[in-house]
Amino acid sequence: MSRPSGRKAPPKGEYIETDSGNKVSRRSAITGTANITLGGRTVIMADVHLRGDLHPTRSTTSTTTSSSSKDVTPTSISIGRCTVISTGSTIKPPSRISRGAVHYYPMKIGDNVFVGPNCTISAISISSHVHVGANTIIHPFAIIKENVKILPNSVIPANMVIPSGSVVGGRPARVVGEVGEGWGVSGGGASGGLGVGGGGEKAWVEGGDLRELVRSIK
Amino acid sequence: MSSQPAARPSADRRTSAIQKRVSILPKPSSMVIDPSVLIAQHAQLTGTHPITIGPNAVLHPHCKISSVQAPVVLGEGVVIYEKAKVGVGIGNADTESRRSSVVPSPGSRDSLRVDGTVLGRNVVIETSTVVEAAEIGEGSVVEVNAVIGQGCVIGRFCTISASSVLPPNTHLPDFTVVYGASERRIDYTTQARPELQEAKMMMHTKQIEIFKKLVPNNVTKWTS
Amino acid sequence: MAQSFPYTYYSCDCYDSKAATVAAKRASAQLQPEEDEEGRTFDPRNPRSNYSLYPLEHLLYCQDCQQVRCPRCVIEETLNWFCPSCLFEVPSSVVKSDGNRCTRNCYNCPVCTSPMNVSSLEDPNDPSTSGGPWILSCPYCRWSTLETRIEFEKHTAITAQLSRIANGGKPILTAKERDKDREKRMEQDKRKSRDILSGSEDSPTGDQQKSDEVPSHDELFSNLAAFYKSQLAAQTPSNPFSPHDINFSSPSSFSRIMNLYSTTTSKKQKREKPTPMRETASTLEGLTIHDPSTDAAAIERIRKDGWSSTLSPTQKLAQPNPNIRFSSELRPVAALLCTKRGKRCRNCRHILSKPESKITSTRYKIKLLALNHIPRLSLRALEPPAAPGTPAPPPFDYSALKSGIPQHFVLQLANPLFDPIRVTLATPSTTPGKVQSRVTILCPQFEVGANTDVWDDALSSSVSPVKSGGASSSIEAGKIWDRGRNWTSVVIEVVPGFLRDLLAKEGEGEELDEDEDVLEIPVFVRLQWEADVNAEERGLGDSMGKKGEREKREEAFWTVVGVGRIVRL
Repeated sequence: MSRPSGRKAPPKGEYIETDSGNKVSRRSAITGTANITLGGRTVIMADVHLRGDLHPTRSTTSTTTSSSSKDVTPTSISIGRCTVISTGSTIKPPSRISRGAVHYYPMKIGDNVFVGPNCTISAISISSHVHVGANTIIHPFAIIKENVKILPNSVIPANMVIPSGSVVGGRPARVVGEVGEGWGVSGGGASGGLGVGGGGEKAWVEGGDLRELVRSIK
Repeated sequence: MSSQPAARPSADRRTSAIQKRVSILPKPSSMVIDPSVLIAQHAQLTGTHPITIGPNAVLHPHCKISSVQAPVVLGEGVVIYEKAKVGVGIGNADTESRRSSVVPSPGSRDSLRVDGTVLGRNVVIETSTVVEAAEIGEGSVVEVNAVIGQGCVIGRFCTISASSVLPPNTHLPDFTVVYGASERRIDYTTQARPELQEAKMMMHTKQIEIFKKLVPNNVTKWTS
Repeated sequence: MAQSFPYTYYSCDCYDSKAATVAAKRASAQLQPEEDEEGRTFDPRNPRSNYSLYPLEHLLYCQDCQQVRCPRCVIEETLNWFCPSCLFEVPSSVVKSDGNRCTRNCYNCPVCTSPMNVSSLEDPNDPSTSGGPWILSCPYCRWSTLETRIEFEKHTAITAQLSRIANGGKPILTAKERDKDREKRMEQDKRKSRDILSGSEDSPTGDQQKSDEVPSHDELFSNLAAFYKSQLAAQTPSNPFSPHDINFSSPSSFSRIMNLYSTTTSKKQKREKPTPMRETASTLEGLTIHDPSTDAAAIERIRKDGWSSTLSPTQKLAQPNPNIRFSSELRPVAALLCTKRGKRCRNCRHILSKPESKITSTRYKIKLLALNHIPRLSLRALEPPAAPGTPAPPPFDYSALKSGIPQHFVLQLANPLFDPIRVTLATPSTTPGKVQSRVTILCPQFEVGANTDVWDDALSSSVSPVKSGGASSSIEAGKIWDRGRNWTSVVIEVVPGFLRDLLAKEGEGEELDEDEDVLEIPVFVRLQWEADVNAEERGLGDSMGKKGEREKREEAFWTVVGVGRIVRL
């Protein structure tokens, strides 16, 4: 569906752009690509590891010994639209033991999520408009709701639920504040004018619409 | 909406690049790899000293084992995740730059424990860690982004929590948990309950089972 | 100021406007005496400025007062309470009685504050029907209730189970059982003392008290509560309410207490002066006498177990009973509740923001952001354009400004209003603080276009003054740098000050204060524009109403632009 448009083009840029506008770095490391869905206009930067091979096995019975490709491919990582995964980050679905066997669980990342550089993420779900600071570690089965800001160098413990609108930080992370009403609102009527053509400001704000940021990544 | 085709070329290209580089590097003079070991694609084993990998160990893609300065021994059921680096000297410099300066010496088994890295049974080395420790005991877990300096001796069932940094030559007794801003405590729960240790080991074994189901094995590249 | 450079903070003058006279007096007394109030420049390093500077995103705007409202000049009203961990709403009726804590299974680790998991201790070889026993365990620091020897039978209703198990696994009496127990023992005491008085029994009462264990925190509290309840009941035998059921917080008991302390001039007060309450006299009444032997025991224990068995102040303070000393006394901490709050203007009580009351909803019914009323200022370093062919220069390092070397920055104003605005910028020529940097705004007066629809701009492209003719993009005094639909940018020249001069001047050994090397420029912004009268009432998109009626508006405020950090040479 999303065949890379620039696959054969000789002047290779850093990113391969799919039909739906996803930009995937040539230097990213993705395993189990069949189990990964990208929502469109999503950026996967260099050195990002997506562990799509660690997919749920329960639905496809026990026939999955080595060739599970014939079955309906299970989704292990699904990432929404306009989400940016920065360099050096690792996305790894969480696993746990249940009924005597280890199972991987599908991980969901929403729209307009920004993941900073060198993060390691095993959350079960990250909702939309979440900003994850650099070097953050999110342990398995954490749930991160909408409009959350995670400060850099945080460690989110396993199974933690972060309510929407929180600012969290620390090792282990705790809620340290609220993002406030203006979170994600790019003020100044920024629709368009800002940042374009030598405008001073970055045209996106944390937690806001990341379309401009995605557009600027080449 | 799968991005499968999108990513594939990059992966292919990556393979070729790495293979090329690996071929330049000196292969470990003696590599003892148990046939039951799972080594994923893109896992790197470099260095001239011997590397020993026990049965049922799992090496995830893009992890690096370096025996450039000293031998490495991975015990039974050791799991090393992506981007983790194991081996003396791997943390502070690029392995290639050091390669020339180190005179390869014939690795003798007796010296393994003295100047090398020995990971005990069922040790888990998480993503993006740097492990230069001398010894890590059975069942210990080194969590994401942790850095363990040279000469560290870590006991059994220890937990080095995420982003912790252990300075060189740290000695941790069994059941130590390093957490927060380098705080330490003893995990009395696991210490007091041998059945919990057992359960932990059992879970680990099952985890390895599922890795064998899901991760394609590339061990032949290294054993042949 | 942990935000990355460059940043802009807006000053809300809510404090100064109220205390202006006092502040001015103080400021003039302490700082430069020549400063008068009008000419006073905003000093971002003033300790008080910490409390008036906010990022634009955190400010609200009251349309009635036509003023910015910061978190200090709004009134918050709680819409509902919820647990941040299980996201269940807690009815306001029980919030107080539950101590603002979740009563489900949400607990935080007493050692590291991480949320705890309920995990099973089930022996896989011998599975139990319930899957238990269960414990609370911390996924981060691995503390678990096993360390205080607490196990649960079920994995649900942890709070109820925990309230019945003391550390060590012994059961805790419920309040009722405790009352019964107390009464029984009081009876015994009485009988004994009677016996002593009658001389038939020779064992002294002290014996029995010694045999009692030190009462726990909860026991003490309940004993004390029961004692004072009985005292109150004794004070007012004519109490219309049941004497056994007195609530301390009930209005009747409150008025009674007030009566106790109020003057007896009241004519209604016919009763004689109440006898003062007596104090507690025994352990059963909640009396605690410090026992020095406990200290010796504690010291002995530290000697034996080492410092690791003691607690840090933060760990203690997080506990329900902050008087504990040892890790064996730790209890899991129930999760504190969070709130959803609406905000009102402190002056006119108009609602400024009101979230939807549903916990899961992130939407707002009302949200009046300053973002939509105040232009956004933003700064960017102006870099010489890279010559074609050469590799692009590395991005400007805001945290390494070079002293004495003039650097140009572009300051951009984006207008969120639907009318064009006229802007006047002002800044002190040298920044306040020890490190004095010279600042010049090359074009302090300019206009910013209206925030019209993007498409308006596109449709009227023939006349649009769009971006950057060659002439406008030059660094020239009195000329703007660039402009777009609703934004205009001007150039600022900054000569970062010298850190070294300062050190030399003040003599060696004296260190700069923290963040003294941060270059922050106070910028005064004055806006003038013409707006439709009562545009807010008519609704923004409504074109009805008399068109011609326009009024002049003006707005002025201080901002602080954080440029970067001056690097030490």
